[in-house]
Amino acid sequence: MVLPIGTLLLFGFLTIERGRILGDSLTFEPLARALQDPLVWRLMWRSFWVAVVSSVMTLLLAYPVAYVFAEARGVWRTLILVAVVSPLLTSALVRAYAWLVILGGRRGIVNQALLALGVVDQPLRILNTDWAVLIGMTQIHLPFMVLPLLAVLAERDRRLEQASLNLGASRTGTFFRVTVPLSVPAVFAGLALVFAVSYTNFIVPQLLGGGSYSTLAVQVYEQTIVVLDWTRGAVLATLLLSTCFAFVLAIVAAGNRLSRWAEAGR
Amino acid sequence: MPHLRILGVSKRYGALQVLHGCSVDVAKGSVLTLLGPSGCGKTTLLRTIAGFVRPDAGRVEVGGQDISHLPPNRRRVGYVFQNYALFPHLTVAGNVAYGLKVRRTGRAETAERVARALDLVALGGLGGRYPAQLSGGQQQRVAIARALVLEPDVLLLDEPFNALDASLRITMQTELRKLIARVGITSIFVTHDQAEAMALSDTVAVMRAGRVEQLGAPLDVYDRPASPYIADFMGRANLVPVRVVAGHVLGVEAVAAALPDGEATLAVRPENLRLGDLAGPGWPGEVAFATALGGQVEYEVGCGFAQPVRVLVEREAHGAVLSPGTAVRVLVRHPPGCVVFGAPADG
Repeated sequence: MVLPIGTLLLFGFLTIERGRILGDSLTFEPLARALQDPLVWRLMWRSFWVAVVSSVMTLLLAYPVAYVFAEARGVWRTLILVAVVSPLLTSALVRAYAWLVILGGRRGIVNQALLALGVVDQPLRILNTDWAVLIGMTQIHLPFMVLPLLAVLAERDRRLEQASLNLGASRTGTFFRVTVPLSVPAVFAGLALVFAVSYTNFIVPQLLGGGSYSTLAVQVYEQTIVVLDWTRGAVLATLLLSTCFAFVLAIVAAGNRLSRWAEAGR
Repeated sequence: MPHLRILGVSKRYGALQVLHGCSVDVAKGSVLTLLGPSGCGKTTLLRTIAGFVRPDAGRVEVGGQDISHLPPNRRRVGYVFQNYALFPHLTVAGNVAYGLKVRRTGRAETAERVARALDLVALGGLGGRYPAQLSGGQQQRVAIARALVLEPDVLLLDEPFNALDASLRITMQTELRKLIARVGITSIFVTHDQAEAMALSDTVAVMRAGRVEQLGAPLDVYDRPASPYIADFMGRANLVPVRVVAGHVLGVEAVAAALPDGEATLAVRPENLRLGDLAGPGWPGEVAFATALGGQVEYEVGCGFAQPVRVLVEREAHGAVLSPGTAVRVLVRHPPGCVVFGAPADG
């Protein structure tokens, strides 16, 4: 933990010559330059909203899956669990390539199906748009949301729902008044997790967003691996890391605020 | 006309028949206890009334109306769960207001009714607390207030004292009895504790293996149990094998006019026995164990039956306790207080 972050700060804020750190070379000049660059802010904004939207999409998809798992019995439970966890066994790169095939161009599965069904006349342009990035991220990060929800929903006290019915609430009313509020801690744990991995993901935007599509994370990758400007790469990485940390803290704080009751018994 | 009627309710889970045609009537404003050991079906019967369990046969009527087809949220039946099932994410006031909010009751009326319900259970100042910040007894009162605030037709309570410690249990039993009398609501308790059933109810339904085995006032059930099982479950009883000849029980002056000659079981309560002279009548035996209870002493006396005979004796001022091994005779104090059953005692 300390070593990689230390290295990062080293490259970003100190000058290294012939393998030796120059002691008096501490500088914030590269950082200041990055902060004055409107491109950096644009990329950070895109990283942010893509992560937010894909986190929310992940939540909307994961909640029903976790709920169905909690209601299912025996073999069905095992099947759902395997379906949820198995994507974690393949690499994110492979899954991103899979989406490339599914979404890609005229011959992609999605467009072929839509054309065959007569829903559209022209193939939709999904690949190389924000949509492709959002869809790919949402699917790839789904397990991170499903797993915390699954644990909480499967273990929940069903007598509370019976009590709600007994007090006159409908099944839908019970779901929104009891089941959902009690899962708030898990929802926010999942949101924090998915936000962090989405915000820092550079593979999906690169592959599904197209060559000109960039986010802060993609920029870090390109500066470090392609341009070989390690100082700028390290500065941007520091920005990425610190803002990610701040956003995650904000999500956790919001979750705690909404579940103050959970602290009551302690 | 009974207020609540349970008519021939049966329920089967797979191969297990949980309820066999249970029928019970409860008068308006009276308190019924479903008493029985765990697994006898008493909670299933209670859950049937609330609508959580759909019976295979039979029906439930409240005020002459069949409510069997109604879902739980359409029945006017309050339910106090065994561990109270308070919503942890809502405050005490939020819990009590829950049912009113679901019914879209106005804000002012909700606040007023919640305040009144909390006053009723003496929790006036605690509306802002969360359930986790309350003691067990306070949680129980919140659960009761949450049910009563909706003014239900019937109040159902599933082992409401189980989660409380022994000293608090007695206090809460008395409090609850008074509260129910004040509100005048038809109530059904479930318990496995016969002392609790005695203390709380107007009527007791003793259940065994999915059947209501006896229904009656607690003292009637205590004095005239319908079976040896009930005799030992409702209070304690010694079940002694005896022989009936010409309508009389040999060795005891108990009358069993309705019984044919032959083997029978005599149910006699420990307090209806005494220890007598060695030379006199009664069952000869030997003290096996003595438990000093303070004002009383309970002896287990080996009389050659399958089970030792339990005898509860008043202890004279500072009287000594007989030590194990002492030879004694066990006599029935009041023979009409015994019940004779026409089958040999088990074992």
